[in-house]
Amino acid sequence: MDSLLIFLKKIHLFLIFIILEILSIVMVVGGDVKRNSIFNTSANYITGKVYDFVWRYVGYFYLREENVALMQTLLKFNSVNESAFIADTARFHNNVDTVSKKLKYKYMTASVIKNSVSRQNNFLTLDVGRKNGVKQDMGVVSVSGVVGIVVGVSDNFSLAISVLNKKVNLSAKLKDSNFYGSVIWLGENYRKAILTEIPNHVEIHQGDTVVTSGYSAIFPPNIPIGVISSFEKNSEDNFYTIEIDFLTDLKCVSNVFIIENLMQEEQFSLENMEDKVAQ
Amino acid sequence: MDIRAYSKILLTYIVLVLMQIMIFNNINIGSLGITPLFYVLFVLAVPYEVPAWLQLLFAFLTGWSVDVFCDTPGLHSAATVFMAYMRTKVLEFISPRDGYENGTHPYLMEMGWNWFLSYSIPLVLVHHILYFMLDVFGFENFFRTFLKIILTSLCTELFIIFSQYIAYRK
Repeated sequence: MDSLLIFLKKIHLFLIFIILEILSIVMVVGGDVKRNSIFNTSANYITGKVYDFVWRYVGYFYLREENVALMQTLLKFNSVNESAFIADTARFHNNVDTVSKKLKYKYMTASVIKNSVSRQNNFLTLDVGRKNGVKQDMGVVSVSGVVGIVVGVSDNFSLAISVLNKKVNLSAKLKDSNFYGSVIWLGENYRKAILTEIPNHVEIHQGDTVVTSGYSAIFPPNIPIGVISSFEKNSEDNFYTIEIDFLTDLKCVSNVFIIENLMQEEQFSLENMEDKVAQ
Repeated sequence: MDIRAYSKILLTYIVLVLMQIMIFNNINIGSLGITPLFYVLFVLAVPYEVPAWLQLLFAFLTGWSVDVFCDTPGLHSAATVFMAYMRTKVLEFISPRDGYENGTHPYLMEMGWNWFLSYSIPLVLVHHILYFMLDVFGFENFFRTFLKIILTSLCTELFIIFSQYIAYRK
């Protein structure tokens, strides 16, 4: 008995080390945020409050980029504004039937209070939560393009998976030709991603815009993602290898829109039926 | 070890975790996105007198706190606990001939350059190697990860040396 105690005393440090290490590794391996409780993430109450506090001061540093982006968006709206056109009184041109239109996407603004770009799987924390009507699977976009998808909500905060995350697979299309594929981040440069599944016969050019396809029930169609920076033909599988530059600088994104798809549930349940039929 | 010493540890813990999330996590140097992991200074600065098992627990708590703020479940915890365990080994290995005198601290100004560098560099490296290996979880892109480990360690080490001049002067 004594020798056992002496032995235990000898290796107690190693034992504690091993226990703590196993505990950590279990967290790493089981660390999928979707499955993990919100407590273990930065969207819990305490960390949310701390980031909220920090953001009040750090937020100022990003105002310049933010303003430039806002001005550009305003420019876009102004150029299609009524006042940009000459009134053509000779013709009846009010032919947009607003009555039969149905609202599908609702927008809400939010601030990013925590963000990272340097890891393999990046997340953002936003300052709005369940109380503000945020739900899982809402899209997050900035004025210049796609940012991420909400994966968890607490009462006052929400956690979004960033497009800079190897687990994200964005349904995208070429703006000009409507050919669709997936945008995947490779975990390297935070400004670059690749676009897959575009067949070789499509004509593409450097600088072509890549936008969301609208197939995913999360993002509306035609939200900018990036522009093609380089591409090459692949003779093996008849698909291009396309590299794109993100239009949003995810390092300094601070104010975002959260998009709710009001028909998301309907689409999801219908798509689930597709799986059942396939079985 | 009295209550004052422990409250100083608590203060160090709060300050370092806050500095990491408020300042250092916002630093991203170059296309590799180098972010110094300055909070590891906590493990380096724990007094010798604290029992080794308690040092491990402190390290775990610090790593876990940073994890919660960074949404990196377990990554920082694993690396920091490993670092704290290795610290007990490194301290034995480079101890002065008569052991560590009571009332001395593992600070640059007290122990000298030679001792401090051979103490902090291996420990920072050990921490960063485990952290980035777990982050990538495999050996893909080995060269890139290697480069990131070296550059981040260098960056962290510079800030740690800098901190010795600011906060740990005699």
